[in-house]
Amino acid sequence: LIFLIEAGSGSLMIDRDALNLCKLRAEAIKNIQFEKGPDSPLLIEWLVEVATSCEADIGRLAASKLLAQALSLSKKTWGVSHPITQAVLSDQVLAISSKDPDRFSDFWDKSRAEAIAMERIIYAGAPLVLLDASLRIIPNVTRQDPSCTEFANENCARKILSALTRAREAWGEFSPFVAILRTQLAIEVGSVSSHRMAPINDKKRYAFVVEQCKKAIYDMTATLGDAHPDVGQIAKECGIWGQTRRLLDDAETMLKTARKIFAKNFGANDSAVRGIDEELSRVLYLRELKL
Amino acid sequence: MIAEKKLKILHAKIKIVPLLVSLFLCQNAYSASNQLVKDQFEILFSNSQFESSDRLAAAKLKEVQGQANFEVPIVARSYLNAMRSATKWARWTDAIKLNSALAEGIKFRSENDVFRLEVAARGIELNTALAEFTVADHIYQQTLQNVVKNGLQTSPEFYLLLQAQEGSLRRQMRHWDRYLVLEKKLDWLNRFDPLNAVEIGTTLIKMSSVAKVFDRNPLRDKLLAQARPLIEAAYASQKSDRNIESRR
Repeated sequence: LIFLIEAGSGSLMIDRDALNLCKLRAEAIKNIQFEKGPDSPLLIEWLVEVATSCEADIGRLAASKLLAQALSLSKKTWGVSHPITQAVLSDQVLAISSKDPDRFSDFWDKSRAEAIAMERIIYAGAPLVLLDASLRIIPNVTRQDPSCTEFANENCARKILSALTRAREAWGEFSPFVAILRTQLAIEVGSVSSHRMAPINDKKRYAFVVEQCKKAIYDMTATLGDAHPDVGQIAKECGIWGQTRRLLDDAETMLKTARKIFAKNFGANDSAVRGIDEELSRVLYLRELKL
Repeated sequence: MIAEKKLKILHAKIKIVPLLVSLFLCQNAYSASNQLVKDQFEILFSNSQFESSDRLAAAKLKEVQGQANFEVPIVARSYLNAMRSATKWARWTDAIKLNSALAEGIKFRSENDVFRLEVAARGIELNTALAEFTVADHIYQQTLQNVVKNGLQTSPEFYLLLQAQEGSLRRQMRHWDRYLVLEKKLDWLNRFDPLNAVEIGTTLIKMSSVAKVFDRNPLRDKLLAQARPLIEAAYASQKSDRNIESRR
């Protein structure tokens, strides 16, 4: 298993300390495998433990591989719709969510069957599974959906919105979780299969994303307050997305919101603030180039 | 006549003494037995021997069911262990029932009673597993108020509460709130369990993960630098333990 962690992390950065910690925990897995056998339900617990606690340092691909093992074992032991399976699934999605979606596309594209199984769970509507629906699974499912292959942004958006609706029903309109979800979904709608989109659809699609991002920031502010760093984080993600899509006015507003919040929380010289400054200077540069 | 009365009183006193003694012994036996059940369950549970801990919890619950007097420590402990086990095995109906019984049963306990914190911690875990995040947050906030009001920050049960809330916030992806709870956890560990290198190292690494989310790299580096010697020491000691074992 240690080999798996190390091999799985590939070119990703490995932090030695964190890896040592993972090794300690991987020992526990080896012991359980030895004492209880490779199919012991206890392994689920430990695979999830190693993957989630070490995820940031072993890399999300390695973490998601461990979680995939846990998921497969959980499905076998408890069944697809069992809450434990759903919880593992949630962890798996958390592990691969947010950044670097392309890095994981291979992994997910290979898992078409998995994606379809997940879609089934998602539409069963269990709250924890909505977590998955929200963050990364639906775009992967929709990528496999023939109706999403051509100019089908409306269709994909509808599916994603239906997951959002369910999440709002489960957690309420102003749950911080729903706000995070809205951002992720919006970004997904703007990112997934963009190469398949006709340029004519871009304006409409981008408007939808910006609207969702703004709403997410608003909801998050309503629940956590306008100075909470998580609000800043959402604003930053939306801002970067906008910047890469050349929606410079929106990007600037969102990045400035993020900067203000981060500076208030961490100080003007913090690396998080400096990171946003870099993004902002890029916006200014792009504006000068009139892109 | 007076002598006869005195004799009667003396006789009654003599009768009361053994009664008091037996009551005292009974109380002690109760708490000793309670401690034993707690320890047995904890050892099994923390060593991931969940099947055994589940069997133990079920057996103890069967023994005390029907009494349902939560003033008696062993009754409350048996309910709590059974609830924890039911949560672990996703037997939600059982876990919810046991949780409700406990919440109702401890209402009349003193505000200073740290058992309330332990019940709250397990309640947060259960509600997190059920994705009832609002309920979990509510339990945490209410209990935290009680902790501050009654100065219970030094109790190990407070640590359990922080741990449960941290798990809940992780699941909710409320990164910064999670960081703040991790900070509290670290503070507790440094003050009351400073030799627990693995746990302190783990907490630092988790904090560094949150710092990474916010691109706060100097903070992340600082946290990892603190974690490094702790993790290395723990890893080295485990390695040497294994070497000793293999030589044996």
